[in-house]
Amino acid sequence: MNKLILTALATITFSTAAQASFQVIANSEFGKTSISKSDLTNIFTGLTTSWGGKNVKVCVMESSTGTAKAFLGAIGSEPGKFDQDWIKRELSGQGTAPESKSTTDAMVSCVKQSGGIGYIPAADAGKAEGVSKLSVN
Amino acid sequence: MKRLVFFIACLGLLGPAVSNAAKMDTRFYGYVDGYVESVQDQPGVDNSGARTELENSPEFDVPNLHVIVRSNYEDTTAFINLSGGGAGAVDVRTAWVDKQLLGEYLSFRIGELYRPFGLYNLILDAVPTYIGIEPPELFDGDHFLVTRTTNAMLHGKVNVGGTNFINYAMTTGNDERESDQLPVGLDVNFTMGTTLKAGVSYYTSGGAAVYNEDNPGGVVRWAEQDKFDVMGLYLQWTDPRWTVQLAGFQASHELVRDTGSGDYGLTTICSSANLSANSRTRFGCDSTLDSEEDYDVNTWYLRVGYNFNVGDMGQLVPYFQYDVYENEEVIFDKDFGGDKEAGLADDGKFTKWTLGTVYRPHPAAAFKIDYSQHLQDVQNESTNYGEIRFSYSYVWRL
Repeated sequence: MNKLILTALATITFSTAAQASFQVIANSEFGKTSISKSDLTNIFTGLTTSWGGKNVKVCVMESSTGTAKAFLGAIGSEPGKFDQDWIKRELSGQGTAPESKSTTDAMVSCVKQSGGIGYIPAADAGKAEGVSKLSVN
Repeated sequence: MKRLVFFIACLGLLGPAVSNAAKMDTRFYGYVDGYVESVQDQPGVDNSGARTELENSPEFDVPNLHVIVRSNYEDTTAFINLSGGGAGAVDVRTAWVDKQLLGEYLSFRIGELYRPFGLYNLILDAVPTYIGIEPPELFDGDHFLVTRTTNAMLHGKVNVGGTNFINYAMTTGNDERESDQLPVGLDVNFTMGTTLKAGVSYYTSGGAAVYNEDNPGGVVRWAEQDKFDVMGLYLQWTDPRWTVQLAGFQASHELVRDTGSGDYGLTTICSSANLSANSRTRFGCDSTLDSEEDYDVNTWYLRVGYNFNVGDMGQLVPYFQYDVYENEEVIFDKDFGGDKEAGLADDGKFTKWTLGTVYRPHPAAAFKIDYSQHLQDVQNESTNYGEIRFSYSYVWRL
């Protein structure tokens, strides 16, 4: 939560940081090469906790990053709302907030946990070793 | 206190009982909140039933501290919410274990749990996240329509295409049942992503219910027994900036009053409570005590807020609320289970509009200020009075 708060403090701004593109990654155990946009939205907003019959562990980048902003925009959210929704879910017992990571390596490590799914900067796609890179349909 | 010790013991046992600790995700978090409020020029009723003006000094609510522990192990979740109240007492607000039975389609939850019922009951502990300081009248502590907590729940969700889901829950528990009745709560809603939520809630006491001091709900204190059901519809629309909520509920009661001379019997209430003339007539205080009454409680609300980002300062969310509450059975005197809002009105009805704003320096903290204007008929005279509130809340996580 501390990271969540710090992230939120840094991101609820009129920042004009350049928006980066992202690469969705998932644990290889899913055996997938693509994910639908609706599944992506459902998983990262907590609407569902499973994908392909397996429980998911959601990993996100700190929302001060351009990659996070680009990703949240793609699922119809923004940092403030995203954090608010997860606080609401956690305190009402409806979900467990994603792990927030600051680097690509940390994201890849997080996704290597069972059920892991997350995203990294598209420019770092080459660093996603040992996980599946998913295209978004 | 026994419950608290029991649940803490369960928490302590949960960790060592699981051999593969790496798969267990345990998180500690909680929040602190409090408020200040001042009611201005509120009329009241004196011992003779005549209208008077109450002297309300600003009221400071002692800060409340809540500690929450959530632990997941594969498809099982344990959740404990401890509340440190103003008087120094620690209470178990909720404590439950949830197990998936059929993926997300069906799960079973048991313990002490908030019931899914409308838009607010589950999220009232997430204080910074919603607009408004006070809960909707449905869950106002002076006149609950139904108990906030219950004991067992079957629940689940099904994806009906894209980001659309149907969520469902059926609950039962001790609630306010008199003996072996089976109270049942139902909640079904349709969600379209995080944008739209529309649902229906229903509750039946399943037969005779009595007032439960530990878990108050729809039964009045002077009830010998009551049989009631509650039905409601709710709708919420949000985009990243707008929040619009509309909900309405009706409770239908078949009440048998206690006409005795116990602490909350009508004989005592008629002689000792500050009853309005209408309440005296309704109860038969000045003739023959009236033991049976069928009555309805109606309430609905509209809430609208807009979220401004104010750069590095955080978020500012001005909001407007309109609440309506109507309950002819209510009395004024809180010492006898009354309610100073609805109990003041001749017909038990008041409307209230509220203007306010939330300031969030970050998503986990909120400072809220609002002003409400009550409108109601008091002794055949249309009456307005105002109320100003300030609240603060902070959510933390270890």
